[in-house]
Amino acid sequence: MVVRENVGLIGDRSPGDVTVFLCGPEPEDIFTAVYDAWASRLGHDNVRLEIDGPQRQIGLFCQYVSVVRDLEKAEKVSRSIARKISWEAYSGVYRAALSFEVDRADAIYRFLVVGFQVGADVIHRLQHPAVCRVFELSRKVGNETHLFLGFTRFAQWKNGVLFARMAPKCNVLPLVAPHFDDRMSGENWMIYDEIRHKAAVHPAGGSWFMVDTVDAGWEEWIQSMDDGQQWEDLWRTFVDHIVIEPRRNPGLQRSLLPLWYRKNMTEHQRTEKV
Amino acid sequence: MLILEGLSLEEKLQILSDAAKYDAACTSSGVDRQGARGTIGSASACGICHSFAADGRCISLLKILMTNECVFDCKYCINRKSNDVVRTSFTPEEICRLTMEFYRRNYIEGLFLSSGVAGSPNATMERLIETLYLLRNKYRFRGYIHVKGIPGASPDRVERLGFLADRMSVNLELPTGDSLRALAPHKTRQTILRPIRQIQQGMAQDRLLLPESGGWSRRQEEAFALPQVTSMPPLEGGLALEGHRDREDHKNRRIVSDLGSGILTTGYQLPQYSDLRHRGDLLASEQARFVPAGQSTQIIIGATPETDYQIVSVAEALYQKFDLKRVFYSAYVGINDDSALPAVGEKPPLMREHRLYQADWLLRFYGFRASELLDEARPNFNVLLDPKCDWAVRHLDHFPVEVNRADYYTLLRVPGIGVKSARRILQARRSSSLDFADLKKMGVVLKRAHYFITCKGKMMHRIRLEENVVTTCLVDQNRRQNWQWEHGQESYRQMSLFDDCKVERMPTVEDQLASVSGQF
Ligand code: SF4
Repeated sequence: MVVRENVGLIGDRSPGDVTVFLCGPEPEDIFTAVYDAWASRLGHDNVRLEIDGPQRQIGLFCQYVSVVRDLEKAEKVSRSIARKISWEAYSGVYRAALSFEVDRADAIYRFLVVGFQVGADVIHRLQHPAVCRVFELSRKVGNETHLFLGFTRFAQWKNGVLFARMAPKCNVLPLVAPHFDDRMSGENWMIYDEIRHKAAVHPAGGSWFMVDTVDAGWEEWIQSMDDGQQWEDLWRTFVDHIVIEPRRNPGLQRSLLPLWYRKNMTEHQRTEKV
Repeated sequence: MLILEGLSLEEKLQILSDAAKYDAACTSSGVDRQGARGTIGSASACGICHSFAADGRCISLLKILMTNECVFDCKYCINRKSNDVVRTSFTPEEICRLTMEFYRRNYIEGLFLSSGVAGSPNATMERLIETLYLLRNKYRFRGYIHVKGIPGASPDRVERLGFLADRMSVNLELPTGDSLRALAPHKTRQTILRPIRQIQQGMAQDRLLLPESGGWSRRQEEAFALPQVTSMPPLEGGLALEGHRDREDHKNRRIVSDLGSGILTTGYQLPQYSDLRHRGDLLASEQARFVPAGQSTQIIIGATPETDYQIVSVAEALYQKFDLKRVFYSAYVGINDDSALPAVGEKPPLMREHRLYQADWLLRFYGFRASELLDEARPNFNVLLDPKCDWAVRHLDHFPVEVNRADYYTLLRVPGIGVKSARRILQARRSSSLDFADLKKMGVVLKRAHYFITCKGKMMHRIRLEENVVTTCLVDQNRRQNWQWEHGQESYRQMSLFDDCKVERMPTVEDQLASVSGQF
């Protein structure tokens, strides 16, 4: 990440300028940015947090500071949210940080400004725009997480590993993995987020961890591992036969299971792999 | 009966999932159970939908029959003895392998195993027990299991099966004993209700053995035992239906008293705790639980002449007297050509089914009673208005209510305010009083709610609260809603698919006190 401005320059700012803290997309990046912005002592009204990326708009009269991910700072922030506000507030903020919305970092910052003032009750103050926004983001992430608990599909590789591929809108993998960790502790499994190029890996009997999968060759490798489809065919048979014809209602099906989610679901993969 | 030997697993799956699909229940909810080393599976109280079929119904469980052989002859059922269909059975091993392989791939949340009556009810129950025993022990399956209890089975078999399953259901099938006699000659009210009563008693004793686990009914009681400061009529206790007022006519009283407790004392006792360990549940290493996710039942809608009022009264009695977790309503699908039934090819009464689910929701979470929603003079739901709007426009004298002061149950009676938004209002108004714009953020549907509420003493628009004015506006909105529902775009989701997990938690006593004292 290119540092566009040096933090040291902040002192030269003219009144009314806003200092923008640019950070990466992961919760750790956002929490680091919260730490830096807070510690800058520029005043809450004079700082803004933004996620760096192509969709970002360059503002006039802004100074930009690039935030470098720092796990220690991030951890300090999360710990003080959990301790000084509440565990619930922390889990809401963490989930909001996994959203895809570009305003998530700043919304979290504003939420925390209120939160450190009023304490645990912050999560009930939906009248407050920042609280309302974090609540909204967190609910969306929570909903999508819940969908993926059901919609994730594993296929069995030749070596017995269960492999799933997902393309979630929000960054839900860190919330989905613990569910399968608990449920399938005795299996070797892997869930791959094909949009963010990372995977949760779980060795049988061990605990899961996250890996980056940006290297070349990864896609080919996982395709070479694919195995037979006996159970996949049986599953498709079941899904077809469970329909009550006089009740057929594809519109309803589409609203409950949007097309976006279908591409990695076994029952909707019909033609490939014959 | 044509029993085909040597069918492939795929062919059996086709036949036995086809035969199982008319059962409406497919929820995997009601119990939280973490995974454990050396086993596979867990359960989530909210339930998890894994897919949606082309008819829009949720697929959560592998819903199959063990066999579609049946010695009974229920007229509405595709598997009835007199039907000429191909019959087949799964072996217990086949069921286990299907369940395990589907589960590992996360196709399903668990198994919903039902069965035709092969030989006798008891023989069928033995097969079911054998299958679940194998699944729990040999295959170490810790996921969700919903199993059907066979009407007429002996109490000890019901008990053994109950220790292996999470949910058990015995279908009531038809709302009255008369209809049952007409359409299901081998079943009686008693053979159906006896196991339901037994499961209820077993669960109650199970809860006593494990005092830390609060059952739904207990929580419900707490929530319903709130200080009565509302303008609503007080809610009566579990026996509300027996003490029905005079305006209830005889017929209805009879329907409900059919469900009365007198005829149904089973004298059933759960074995002592020390006996539980050999019950064969894999979970015995912790504590074997008896039907921990509760029991449900299903009523077929539209095959017999009962009114909606009769049906919701029966449902209410089942919730109150039998502690049921869910009653499912299944619009009758004409499959058998029979003079006693609606014609084959007639459209299933889906809108009616939808209204019943809405009313059911009002009974369970909104503090409504069946007799408030309908009565003998108006025995069926309004097709134009959902039951809650319908109630509200007939009771305009209760409105408008002040959002910043009204208690929880009063808020719940406002069309456009749901369980979640009511709870959010209670919490938010402690720190400052609320405006219409705030309500929107809490998920209140102002389009509907604004006729019935004030914020800080003011209504949103100046309108006359007159029944026909409000009704016209609401009917218009409902028409759009109905259209969306029929075209599969809305609302069905909240009513019948997503189970109740998120609304089950009633507001805390603190929330209640805050609203009662009205100090905020
Ligand atoms: S008992 Fe009745 S409802 Fe059940 S399978 Fe047999 S015929 Fe069908």
